[in-house]
Amino acid sequence: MQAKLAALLDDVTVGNGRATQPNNPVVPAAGPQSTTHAANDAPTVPGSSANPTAHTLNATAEVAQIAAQIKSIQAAAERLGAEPPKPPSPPLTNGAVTIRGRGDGVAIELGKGTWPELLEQLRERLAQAANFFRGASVALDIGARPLLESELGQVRTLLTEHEMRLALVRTGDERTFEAAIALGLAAKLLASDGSADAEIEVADANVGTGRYFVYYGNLRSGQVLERREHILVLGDVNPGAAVISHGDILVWGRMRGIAHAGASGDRQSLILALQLAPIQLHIAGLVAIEEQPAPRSARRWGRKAEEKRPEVAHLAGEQVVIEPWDESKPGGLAAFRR
Amino acid sequence: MGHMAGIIITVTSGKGGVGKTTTVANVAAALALAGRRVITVDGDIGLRNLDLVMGLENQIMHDLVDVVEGRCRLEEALVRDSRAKSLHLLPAAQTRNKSDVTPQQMVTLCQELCKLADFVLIDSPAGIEHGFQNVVAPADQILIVTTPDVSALRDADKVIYLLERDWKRQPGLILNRYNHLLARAGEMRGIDDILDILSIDLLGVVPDDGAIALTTDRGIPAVYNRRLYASQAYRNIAQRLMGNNVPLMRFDKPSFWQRIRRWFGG
Repeated sequence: MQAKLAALLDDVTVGNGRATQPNNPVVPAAGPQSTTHAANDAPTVPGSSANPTAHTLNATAEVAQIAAQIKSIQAAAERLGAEPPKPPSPPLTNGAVTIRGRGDGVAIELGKGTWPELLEQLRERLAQAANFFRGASVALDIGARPLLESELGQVRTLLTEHEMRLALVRTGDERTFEAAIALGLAAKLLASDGSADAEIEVADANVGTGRYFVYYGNLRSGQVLERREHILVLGDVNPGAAVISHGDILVWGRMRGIAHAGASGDRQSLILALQLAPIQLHIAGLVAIEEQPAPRSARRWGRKAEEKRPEVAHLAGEQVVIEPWDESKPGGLAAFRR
Repeated sequence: MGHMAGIIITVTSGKGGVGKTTTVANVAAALALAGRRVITVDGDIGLRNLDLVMGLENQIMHDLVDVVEGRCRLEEALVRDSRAKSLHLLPAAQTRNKSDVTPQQMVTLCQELCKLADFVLIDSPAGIEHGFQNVVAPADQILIVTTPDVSALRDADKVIYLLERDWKRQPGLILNRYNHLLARAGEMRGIDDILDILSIDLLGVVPDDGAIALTTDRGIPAVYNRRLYASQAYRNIAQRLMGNNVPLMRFDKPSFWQRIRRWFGG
């Protein structure tokens, strides 16, 4: 399994698949060639499901792979005597800062002490153990301590310097929770007794954990892309094309077709696009049809005039709401998913 | 030139009535006027009309299906154009239907035609069914004809998708019946808006002109009437197909000298 996932990751990093289609360098064709001839016209055929140019990214696999690397490096370091021998699994505790390697990431706990002291301790700990945790995603537990955005930012910067990613902030303080959200971090507000909820896995809140299906190229009229994963389209979705996902739909391009996010009923699903001028938007079965019938067709076909701002569509109550991205809440995608 | 095998160009659109046949007749004539040997093939078996637009109906003795089924030799079925001597037509059968010819037979036939011509231009039936497979299978290059209408664009987009998916082809675009006045007034989408959607290479823009309908009806392709903007547009497309880099026509008001030149048929 591990090897299989590693192979998958290799595939993702080595190329975007265009190399496999020398005949068609500009826009990759979708779907199997010969078997779909008869079904050219059937709108329900997921013509892109077998697309060789699209890849499924699996962040969980990445984290697991890194954890495995960490273990092997730890073992090697111990054999070489480079580090003072330590029991392998217990936490690397140094006063108030606790760093714990987990199967799928790293948990950092900040205990008692002043903030500058804690930060300095964390810096030291990371400097010692940096190679062990490189690339890991981190769940940061800060207890009930109230932190400002800038202070959380310091931790994030520190982790980034060591090539780690702050994926989750666990806090018992409401303002700290808000601050984390405002920074675009996944956050979890714990009950004051800090009991049962405290035990959440890193994977639960890790934004990158969801599986993404990446589609390179344009989706043209008649093309239907249907996936269980979140969908990322690196291209335009033209009028007459449809994108259907059980999760979110992100379009790095123009969304002018039909989009259905949360197709299995997830009301938190989002539709984002650099330019959102769709025929229909569905989120979890609720529909938004574009108003203004008169200028619609011209606009949909790429009239330059109006706004070209990125927009996000989400559910508010029973309504699909479309907002300009820069006027929506701060915190990016994660802010909609708390 | 003559020793090389010709290239096969299929002109298609998805939607009917956008000017495929007119485009084939005019581009073929323009290529022939530029000295190339050209054969047009009417791929619309059962609904033939390329012969009408080229004004050759009365000279047809045999047709494509006769050749495929071995009732006559290929050379016998070819009709020589009355105006351009290096232009020939392989007419479609009127009494048969599209399933009488297989894609493989079309490929074989067109490879034979390649030995006789520099350019083989195939006119397509409307639609994306059996006849479409027939005309796409032999093509080296595909031209999509569309008008600026929303429905024509939608169908063109779908055809491009099918070509990319099933045939691994990147077609070129001919934008037909383009009304630059409406586009400039913002009433109709402009060239940029259309390319923005279809995102394929533009091979030419043919202006909207009622005179083209008349020339088509009379069986004298518009390219012969050099006073028409459209004539220049078709000749430009022919130049681009021959690999020459010709700038896109401008549709703004022509200058005084341009008007003088056009008056003298330049």
